[in-house]
Amino acid sequence: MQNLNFKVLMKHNNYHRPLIFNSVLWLLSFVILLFIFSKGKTPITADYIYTTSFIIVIAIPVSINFYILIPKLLKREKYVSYLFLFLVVLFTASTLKRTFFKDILDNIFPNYFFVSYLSNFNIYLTYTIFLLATTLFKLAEDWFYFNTHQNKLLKLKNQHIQTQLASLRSQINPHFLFNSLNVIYAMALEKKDTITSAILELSDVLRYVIYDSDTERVKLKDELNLIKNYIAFQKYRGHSENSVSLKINIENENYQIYPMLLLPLLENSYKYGFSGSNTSEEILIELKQSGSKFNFRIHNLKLNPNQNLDSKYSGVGLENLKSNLSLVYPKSHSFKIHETKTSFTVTIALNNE
Amino acid sequence: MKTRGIVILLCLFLFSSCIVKSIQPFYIKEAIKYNPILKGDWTDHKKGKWKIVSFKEEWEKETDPNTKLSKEDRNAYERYKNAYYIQYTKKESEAAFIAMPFIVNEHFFIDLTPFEYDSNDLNKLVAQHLLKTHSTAHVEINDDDTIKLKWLSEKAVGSLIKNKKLRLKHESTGIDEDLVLTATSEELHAFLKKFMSSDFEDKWDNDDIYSLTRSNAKP
Repeated sequence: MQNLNFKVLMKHNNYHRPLIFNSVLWLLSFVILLFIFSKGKTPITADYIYTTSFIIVIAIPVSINFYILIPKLLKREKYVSYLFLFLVVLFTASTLKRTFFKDILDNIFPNYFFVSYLSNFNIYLTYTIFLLATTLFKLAEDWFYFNTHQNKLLKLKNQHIQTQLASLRSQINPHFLFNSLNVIYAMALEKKDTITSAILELSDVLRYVIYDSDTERVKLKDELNLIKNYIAFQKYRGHSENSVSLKINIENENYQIYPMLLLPLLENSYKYGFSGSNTSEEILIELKQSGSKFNFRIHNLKLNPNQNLDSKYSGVGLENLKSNLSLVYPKSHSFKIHETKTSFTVTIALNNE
Repeated sequence: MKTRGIVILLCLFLFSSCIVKSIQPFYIKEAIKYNPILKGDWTDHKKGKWKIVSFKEEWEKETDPNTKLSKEDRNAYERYKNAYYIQYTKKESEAAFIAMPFIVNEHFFIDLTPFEYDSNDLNKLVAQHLLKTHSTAHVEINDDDTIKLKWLSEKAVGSLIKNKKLRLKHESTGIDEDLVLTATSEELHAFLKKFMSSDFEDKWDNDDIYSLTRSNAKP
């Protein structure tokens, strides 16, 4: 999906309908011109003949304008050239009409009198108005389709983002589940009595991860519960709850936050911050929320030097997090990693404004 | 004067019975072309007498060259200097017209309008209902020094309008629904061009054709 080519996609969805456009344009023109040429009275046969012939003749300069001048010059922002050639076409067509039209019409229809229609000056005026009006009509049509095209593009982009987010989430859930099942598996091997409690706590975590977090925003207190449940669950892996320092300073526990933002960092810290079970090393977590701002900081020592952050699983978690932040908090977040030889710190700042 | 008034009414009746009347002249400025051949005394086949003189010559004859003309007089002179002044007499009654000669596709036409409409001897209320309209006639000059005046008839034009072949501004007025053209002179002139180049039946109505012979012509 990330390689989706929108231009190619839109090309296959070209909504221009020349037949409909021209039918509407010329039918409308016919009605208006017939009304003008019949001077508001009931049209007579001569009016119909004159109007039809007029439409046929004026269609030539209008088509030149539509299919040559506008696409080749106007749409390429060659305004001076467009204006010049537009005037040339207008003048030439008007003059040809003035010179030959009536004679041709009289020859074809010798028994009809086309005497009360357009005089010399009015031919130029009518041609000018007609060409300008049809140009505006064409531009309006282009704008309409451009607007439709843009809306379609926006919808596709939005759909693309949603798909991307869903894809990222689906990468988190199995990752977490895989780790957790490893823990349960280890407990089962050891036949520990606490395995039932562990499964229950894991189910609480999974309920949140699978169901409750499947929205655009969750309350901060729910995300905090997840972190607490996760930490509690880690005791079954041999990590004392006391090994995590959790400092919470929250003004509004209903503060809205994108779900599952913090868990990958916690997972990461557990993975690299402990050298083994029953250790006294600490993971430092600070959560601070004030007004629209939210800050999260997590720090751990690097006690497993053989593993690095670019390894397969941790790399996926951090990259997912980065992608999520850029999608759901565009231009309103910061994500910083501070890494030394012995420690690893990640800081996230969000602004909900 | 009483006789003159009656003749004017008679002429209006005669000419208005079948000919096409127009509010605007049938000629455009560029088409005016004076032809001296019409000058002289003529008698038509209905025993009417026509005295046709040059408006310009008549003006100059009756106007002292040293007289300072008013603006209206100057305008009238400029407008009609290429026209004819026609005195039409029938059964000792007279009427005067201004006739402007003009060309339509090399055809010779005159545009007629009553001149000096004197309503003193007419019922005033009747006079107030009369309007000096224009009519036009095709002038056919024959080799034997006779001319034919073929008036544009209501029958021919009315038929074109009725058959939806002609769009020309017009009104039907009065109890008899007389046809009165209200189109511009440009449109009327354009119509005449097409009319003359068209070939259709009943183009001219015999009732509206006047054959004129010079009054002093020897038989």
